[in-house]
Amino acid sequence: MNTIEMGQLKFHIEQQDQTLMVQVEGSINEDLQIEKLSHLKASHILFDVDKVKMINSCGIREWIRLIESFGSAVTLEYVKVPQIVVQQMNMISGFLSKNAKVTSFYAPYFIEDLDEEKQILLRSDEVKNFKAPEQTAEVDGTTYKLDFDAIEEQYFRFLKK
Amino acid sequence: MSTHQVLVLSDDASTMLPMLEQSFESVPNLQMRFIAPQKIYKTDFEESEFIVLDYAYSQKYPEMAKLAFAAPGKLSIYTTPTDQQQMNEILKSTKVDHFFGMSGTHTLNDIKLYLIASITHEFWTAETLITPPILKHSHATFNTSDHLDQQIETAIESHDFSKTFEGFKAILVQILNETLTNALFNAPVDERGNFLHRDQNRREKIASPAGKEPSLEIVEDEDKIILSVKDFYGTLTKEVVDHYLTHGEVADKDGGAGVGLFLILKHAHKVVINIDPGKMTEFIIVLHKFKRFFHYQALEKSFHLFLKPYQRKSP
Repeated sequence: MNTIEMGQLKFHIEQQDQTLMVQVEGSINEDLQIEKLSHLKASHILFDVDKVKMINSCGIREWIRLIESFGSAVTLEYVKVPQIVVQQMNMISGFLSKNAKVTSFYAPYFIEDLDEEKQILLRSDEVKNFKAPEQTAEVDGTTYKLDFDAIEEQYFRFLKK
Repeated sequence: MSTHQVLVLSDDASTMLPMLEQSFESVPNLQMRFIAPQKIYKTDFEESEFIVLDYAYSQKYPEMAKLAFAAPGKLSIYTTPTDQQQMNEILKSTKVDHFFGMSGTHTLNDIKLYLIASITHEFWTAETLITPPILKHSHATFNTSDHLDQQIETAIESHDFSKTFEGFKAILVQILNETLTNALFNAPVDERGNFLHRDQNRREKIASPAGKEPSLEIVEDEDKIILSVKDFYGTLTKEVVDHYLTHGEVADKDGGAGVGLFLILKHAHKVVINIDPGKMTEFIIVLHKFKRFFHYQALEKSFHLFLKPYQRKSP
C-alpha cells in the first residue's frame, strides 16, 4: 500500500486489478493537492472515506477538481461515508458527480430507552423509497429497537443524485 | 419623539397583532398596523418604517406581496417551519435582511429584539441572544492562518459536547473554520481598500497585524451555544452576502470556494451578520444543543443582517 500525505490528509492507495482502492484519512481541506494525485489511473476508483474527520468548503472544491481530473469515463464508488460527508453531499451540488455512486454510508439511529446514539453503516440498496431500514441493537444482552434519527427526506437526498 | 410604524401582514393578524402589541409593550413609540390586503395601498408601505410579513400571506395575495417585496430595506419575513430548500428560495428571491423561522413566543421575542435593535441602531450581540445562566464563556484570537484547525480545537476544548449528538462538534468546527478563514483571508484590506489576501490560496500561511486579529467568543447556556467571530475591517457588503448566502455551487477560482456562507446557513439555526463598514464584521452563529440529530435538523432557522449606517429609506 502506498500512502500520500498532504498536511492533515492521507491517501492510502492500493491497486487491485482495474480498481484503485483509496482510503482517505483526516481532513479534506485546502491541503488536498491534485498534482500529487494526478498519476493515479484506473477505470474504477473506490474511496473508503470512513476516516474522514472534517471537511471544509475549500476541501470540497479541491475534491470536485480531483474527481473531474480523473475524467467522466472513470467510475467512482464511495464506501463507509460518514455523516459529516453525507451532509456535504446533500448540500453542495457537484460534490457527488454523475459518474459516482455511494455504496455504503453511516446513518444516525437512537436508542430511546438508553438515551444513546448509534451510527449504523447502511448499504444504499437497503434504503427503499427514502425510508430508513429498521434496525436493532443488542446492548448488555437486551435487544433494542432503534429509531432513525434524521429527517429521512433530507438525509437520503444524496441517493437521488 | 417620533412614532415607529410597523405594518403587520398576516393571515392571522387578528391573533398576531394582540400578541405583538402585548409582547412589544416595553418598546417605546411603536405603532402596530394591520390593513386588509384589499385595502392596502403603496402609501401604506411608504409610511411604514417596518413591514413584518407572513410569507404564506404573500403567496395568497401576490399584488400586495409585490408592494412589500419592493421595500426590502424595511421588510422582514416570518414563516412557519420550512425545509432548508424553501428558506433558500425565499432569501434568494426577496433578499430580505431578516428572516424568522416561526416558533411561537421565541419568534415574537426575536421580532421584538429586531425592532429594538433597528430603532436604537444597535447590533445584536451574543449576549442579546443568550438565556441566563451562562454555563461557559470563552475567548480566543487568531493572528495566523497556520494550523487553523488546531487553533480551533484549542479554542473549543474547554466546552462540553457530551449532551449533543455525535456529529455536533464536527459541524461546529466546520462553521468556525469557514468564518475564521473568511476573517483571515477575505476581510483584510490595505489603506487604499485593496484586498490583501482574498485571492490567495488558503494553503498559504498569512498573519494578521496586531490589533486586527480576528476574535472568537463562545457563549453557552443550557440550550444553545453561540459563536461570535469578528474581523476588524468591516469589508463585507450586503451585495456579497446576498450573492453567496444561497449559492450552493462551488466556484472554480483562486481564493475561497464561495460556499462557506451557504454551508454556515445550512448548518446553523440562527445566523446573524453585523456589518459596521470600515470597522468590523461579526458573524454570530447560534446552534441549539440536542442529543438527537433529528431534533437538530427539524428546528426552524433564521437569518439576520444588521448593517450600519442603516440603509432603510425614510418614511
